[in-house]
Amino acid sequence: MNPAPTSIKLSAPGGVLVKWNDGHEVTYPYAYLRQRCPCATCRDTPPAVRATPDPFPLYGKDVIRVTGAASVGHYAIQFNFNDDHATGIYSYAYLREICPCDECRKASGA
Amino acid sequence: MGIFGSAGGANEAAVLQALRGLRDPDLQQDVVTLGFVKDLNIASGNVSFSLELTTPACPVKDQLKAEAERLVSAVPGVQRVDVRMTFQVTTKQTHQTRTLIPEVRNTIAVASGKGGVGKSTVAVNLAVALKRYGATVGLMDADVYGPSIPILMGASDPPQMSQNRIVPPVTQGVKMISMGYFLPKNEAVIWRGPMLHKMIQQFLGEVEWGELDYLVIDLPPGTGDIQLSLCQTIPLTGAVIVSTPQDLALEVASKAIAMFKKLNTPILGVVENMSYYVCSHCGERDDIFGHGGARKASAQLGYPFLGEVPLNSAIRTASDNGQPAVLEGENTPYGRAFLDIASATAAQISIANFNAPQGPVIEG
Repeated sequence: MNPAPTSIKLSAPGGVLVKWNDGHEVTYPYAYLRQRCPCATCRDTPPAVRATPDPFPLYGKDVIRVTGAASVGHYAIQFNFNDDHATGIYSYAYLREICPCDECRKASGA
Repeated sequence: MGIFGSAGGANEAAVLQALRGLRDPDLQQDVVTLGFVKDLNIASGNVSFSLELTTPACPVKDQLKAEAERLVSAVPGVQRVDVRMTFQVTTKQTHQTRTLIPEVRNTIAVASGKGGVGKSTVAVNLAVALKRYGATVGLMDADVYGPSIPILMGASDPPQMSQNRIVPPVTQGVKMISMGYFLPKNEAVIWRGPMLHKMIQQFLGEVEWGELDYLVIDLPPGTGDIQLSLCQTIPLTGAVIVSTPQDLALEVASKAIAMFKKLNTPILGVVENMSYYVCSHCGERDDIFGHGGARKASAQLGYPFLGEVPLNSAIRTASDNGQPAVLEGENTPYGRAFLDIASATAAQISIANFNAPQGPVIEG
């Protein structure tokens, strides 16, 4: 069976908390998720993302956040970010591939 | 169980205990655990109840009924048993389907890798066969480039608009929608992905489907925009793959299977079309494209084989006349084949609904 998420909490401490059907549980920081947006535009030109508050906030960018999400068919999640970007369709396989936990990062050699 | 039964009748617990000996062959559990026993009524020695199956086309319905009667008759105190066989097609709703097609219980995509394998013919006959079994059925022609459903299903009035929604015409008891209705003859659709995506969304969400047990969706050949859009727009209940028996077709069909696998869409099974040819003059059989290739391939890949349809000019004639061949009933080999395929597909759907994982719960 391919890993699939059973629950997704968008405003967990530190980012998006994903629980998987194989027991894996991990929090994806918002900036991390946004930087890895798999849509064609972002793959072509990776987005500039603010992960921490801007010391000169007047003209700066807001800190990146996920504002919503929706299931896509049987296989993916679409995240809406507060920079009005929502075209990234994160397949379960991809989401798992970019899992930020130490174990998975080590396993993938990243 | 004898204490209450001795008062001149059977008790409910004893009847249910007896029925626990009856298993649904597809779902592999007993009918009491599955909640199939409805309206149980015991009046002294007379027991009556309904067995509510999850498919209208259960091939072993009569055996199940006879077995239920036998089991309950054996309960002490029971004199008469009255079993009614009913069905309630199951569904697995998600946020996407609830928003877009709230009253459609199941969506079946009919797909192939290669074109010309008779995908639309299978889709049409599958829909009409399910209708014949007593289900409520819709048929969506998602093949914008070569919409053939209006021809295969016979002439009908074009769809009407009512309160900004499309009211689908009904032929042979099946509600239908097709790009063919919106296009002047000899015109073609020359669209890119975003337009196709929009069409899929409209055909699902803006058509007045009403309550449907099954919505059969005829896809264009291949693994392109329409397939992807459909799999993104709704979580399909499953896909039926149509192939002809020769290696070339099977090779391409495996691409379609790979696509659905990648998109986590359940494969309900494989249908072999143009499976063999029986000469109408001498009765000799000729396996024009080979035979059994799809059965073998589905076994190798671990998917159910749903059935085989012979190559028969009567199917072609019926199709061109807009009278789906399955209407000729179970006395023709192809009518029988289509009915059996529909029955097998309905069974796979009830299994898929039983086993399908729920999508993730998303919270703020």
